[in-house]
Amino acid sequence: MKHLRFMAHIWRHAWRRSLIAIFSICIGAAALSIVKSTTSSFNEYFSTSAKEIAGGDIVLSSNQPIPIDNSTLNSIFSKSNYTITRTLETLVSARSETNGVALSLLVIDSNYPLYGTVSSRPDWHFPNTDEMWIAENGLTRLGITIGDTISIGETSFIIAGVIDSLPDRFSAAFNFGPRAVISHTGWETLNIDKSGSRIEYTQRIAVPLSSEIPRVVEQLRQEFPQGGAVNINIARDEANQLERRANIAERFFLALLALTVLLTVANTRVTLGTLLADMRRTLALIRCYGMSRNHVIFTLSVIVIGGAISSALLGHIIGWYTSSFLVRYAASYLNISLPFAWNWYSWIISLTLGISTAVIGLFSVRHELYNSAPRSLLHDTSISPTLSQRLWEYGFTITVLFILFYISLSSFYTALWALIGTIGIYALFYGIVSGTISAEKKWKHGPLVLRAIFAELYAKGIEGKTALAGITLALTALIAVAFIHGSLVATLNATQTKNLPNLYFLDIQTDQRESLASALGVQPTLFPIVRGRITSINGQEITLLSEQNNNRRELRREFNFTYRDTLSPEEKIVRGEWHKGNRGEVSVDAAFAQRVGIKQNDRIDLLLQGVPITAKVTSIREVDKSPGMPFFYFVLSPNDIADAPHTWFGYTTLPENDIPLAQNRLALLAPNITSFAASDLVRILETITTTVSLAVGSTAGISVLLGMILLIGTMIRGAISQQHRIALWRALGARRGLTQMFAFSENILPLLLSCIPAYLIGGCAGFLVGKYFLDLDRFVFPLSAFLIGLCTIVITSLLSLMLTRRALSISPATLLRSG
Amino acid sequence: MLTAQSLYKSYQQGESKIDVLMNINFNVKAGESVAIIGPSGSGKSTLLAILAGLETPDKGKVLYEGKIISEYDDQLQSDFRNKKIGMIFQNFELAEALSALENVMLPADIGGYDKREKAEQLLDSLGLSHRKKHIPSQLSGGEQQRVAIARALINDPDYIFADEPTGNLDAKTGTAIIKTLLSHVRSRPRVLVLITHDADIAAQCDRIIRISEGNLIEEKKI
Repeated sequence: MKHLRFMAHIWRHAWRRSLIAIFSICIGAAALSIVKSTTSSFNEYFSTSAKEIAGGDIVLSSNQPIPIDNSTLNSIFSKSNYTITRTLETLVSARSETNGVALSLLVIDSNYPLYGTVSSRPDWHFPNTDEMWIAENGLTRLGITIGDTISIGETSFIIAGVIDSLPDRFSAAFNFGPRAVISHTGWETLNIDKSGSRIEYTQRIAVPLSSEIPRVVEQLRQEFPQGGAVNINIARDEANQLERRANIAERFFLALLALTVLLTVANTRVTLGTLLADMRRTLALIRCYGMSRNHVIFTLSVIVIGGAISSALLGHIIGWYTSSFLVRYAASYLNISLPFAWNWYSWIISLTLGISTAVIGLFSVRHELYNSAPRSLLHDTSISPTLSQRLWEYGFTITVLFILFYISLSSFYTALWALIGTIGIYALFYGIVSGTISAEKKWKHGPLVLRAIFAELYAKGIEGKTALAGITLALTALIAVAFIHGSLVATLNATQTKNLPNLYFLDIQTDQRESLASALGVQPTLFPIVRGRITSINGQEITLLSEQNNNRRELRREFNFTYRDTLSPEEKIVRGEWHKGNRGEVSVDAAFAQRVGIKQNDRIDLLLQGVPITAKVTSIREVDKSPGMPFFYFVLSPNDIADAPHTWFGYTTLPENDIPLAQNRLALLAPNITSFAASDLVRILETITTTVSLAVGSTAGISVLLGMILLIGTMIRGAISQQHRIALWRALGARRGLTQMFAFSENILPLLLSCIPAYLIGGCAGFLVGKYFLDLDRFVFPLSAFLIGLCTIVITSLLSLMLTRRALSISPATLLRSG
Repeated sequence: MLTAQSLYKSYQQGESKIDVLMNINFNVKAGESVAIIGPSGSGKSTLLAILAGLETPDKGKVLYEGKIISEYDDQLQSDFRNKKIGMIFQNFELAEALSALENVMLPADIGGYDKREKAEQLLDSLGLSHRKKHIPSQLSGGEQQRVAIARALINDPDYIFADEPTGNLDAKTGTAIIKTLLSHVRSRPRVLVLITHDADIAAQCDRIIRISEGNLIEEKKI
């Protein structure tokens, strides 16, 4: 106890120098806490609201009316102990007196919703035949208010109120058009339920006894076999899928934070090393006066680990509080009610971070404490670790880091890849920085200022290079994200050039093609579309195939099939031969085929609008995927499906000012045809990419912050010795200007050293990701990327000026007085 | 010739003013070596700092060949300090990150000259040819002080000021250092002013100036 008191007394004078480590651990713990707490809120929502999200315990869905009646359901459900709601969803064109818009229409019956409640203004009531409920953004875009009228075709609806949120709509923000709700009787007045139209029919069933669900699903599967037109989902499965996606996103952000963790550890290690160096004489005296080595190590460990744990807990609380704001924001953005839960596991992660950093830091200094006799400490000779001690230290550090990653990511392989990736890339950057400094140090004929600065950087050893490598890596990530975002936005905006279409149409019926052209005043380019699913490949059911191989999960969704007898100018056959005009031929997009494992001569079974078709893959074709130009994964021979129910998809280019008028005319003429302007699509995609870039960039930004703290800490710690160096230079006759340049450059040059490779490597990485993963063809270095580097340089420059000014005010005579 | 005329210097310490030097007057001719001795706190280091142009007196002047350098602007003062003055500190004050050779070359580099060859010759003459690439932490005290001497001589200055150059060395090493210093200083007419506590070292100089409580109380020719 008395030892603890004594050490605490000494530490009281050193606490300022521990601030760097305390801040770093706080920031690291806060970042981990934010990610974990936010994700756990979403997971809890998915878990507890599974039924609300799915809209029922069992959900049947199809792109055709579901052929099941009440008597069949009664026979499946014993004692009629079920409730059912029938809905359909589609896109329709609506117009007010001034504006037109595509609405995401939900048609409901009086049992809706089975679970949860609708949040609305005024209070919710089931809409009458001529009533419509609409989302706030729908009112805005149509320029109307509650009580006004809108038209879909020739049918008018009165706006009954505003929907704030629907219980079974997880993501209102990402729907294409504003949400609107009408009754089935209202839908029947529209008369736009045409064959082949893009309508999703659902029947949601509430089953009071959850133990009955498996039996009921089994019986429903006998009515609707797997791979057929009707899908059967259980509420829990949908929630599990959403949880899985949330966990993937969580792991992604936690993996991004791996660098943050590494820098936290580096900061703590460096701080501890410096503190110990400063305390060496005091510790030597303590040892000389009889405190045993083990007591010193024990007491130091207690203080360091205690301090690290306190910092981690403080950071966790800050992160937890911050994530409460994020959760609230996400809830309002997504129009859902997200719980904010206490997550014990995230506390454990933060504690593990604190303990890990402390343990690694203590391990790195143990050799000095353990191997130094008190007398040698008095002589102030620092003992360099041997190679084997260094290897032990690195091995120990890597092991502890892996344990921390594993606890955070809950996955062995993800933790392993995060560790390898972070350490590998960090080592690469450390090597680049180290090599640059060594090369510059050996440069005998360069300017004095530069040579002296590089000599100082070289002499700083691991501390200086750790700071530089950390900042370089963090800046690289941030710049790569900014570059990808800027290029993505530029590519999206390029779709609005003259040569690309700016107006698209969905659900055009065959007999509406001419009237569409006359409404627009131009002949649009049209493609036939048949919606359908793949049921099997080479005789193997698609559900089985997708379970065997994750890449084949994509095959389970609905596809838009088209038919043509000629190749389009953007296409080129790379394997096989184009249709010979026979039945049962399909050409598959090359990139898609490679992704999901479809090969030439594979036999694919399809279900197109209820019609089963088997087609052989006769060719694989490459498509030049220009932004804004539609392309199809599957192109069938016309003989297969020309007679099947299908609609048409079209596009055209109109002057921007004519688009709203054209949409209005179309909404009046054919409300089943959904038209959307390219600018609307671009706007939505931009919103999504900006949100994602912001999230990813913020995560990378935390690492930049930690790197800056490390660098600024190095600058502040070095300020006193820098003052001494400045005084020496002045004493040796250096002019004030030269000394100022030396001092300022000494602080700024490390950051510039970081920025140059960061921009080069970040730009290259962004280019490669954009070109080969995102298929971008416009590459732009946005202003934000330059501002990132500029901000870090400005902040460091200001601090450097403050430190330099102070140093220059000191008379060189202090060198004599310090003797 | 170096002339100190009516030098006064005081420092403010809290609310009290401490007079460190009071009416110091003396001069040193080219080729002369002067030892300043006195008890701790007598003002020796302050006097040396003023003479070396590192500190400005409150009153009085320091003339170098009749010129008052302190009245010049910073640029000229710095140039003068670089070319004409060589400083040797008690704590050696070598740049920790630079090698012995680079430390010796530092004043020349500051002045914009490349005197690598001369630096190597100086180190050789001081018996440090095998230690050129070592950094200060790898050198003994005596070796560090010899590097400091070489650094002070690189620009061939007219005035050399040494603040207890043997203060951190043992007696035998200290004597050897002083011998080396004096032989280099006397190789051509220079002014040497050094502070020392050691009477034997002081006895090797041409004159001894004793200072006590800021006053010059005795001047003795050897």
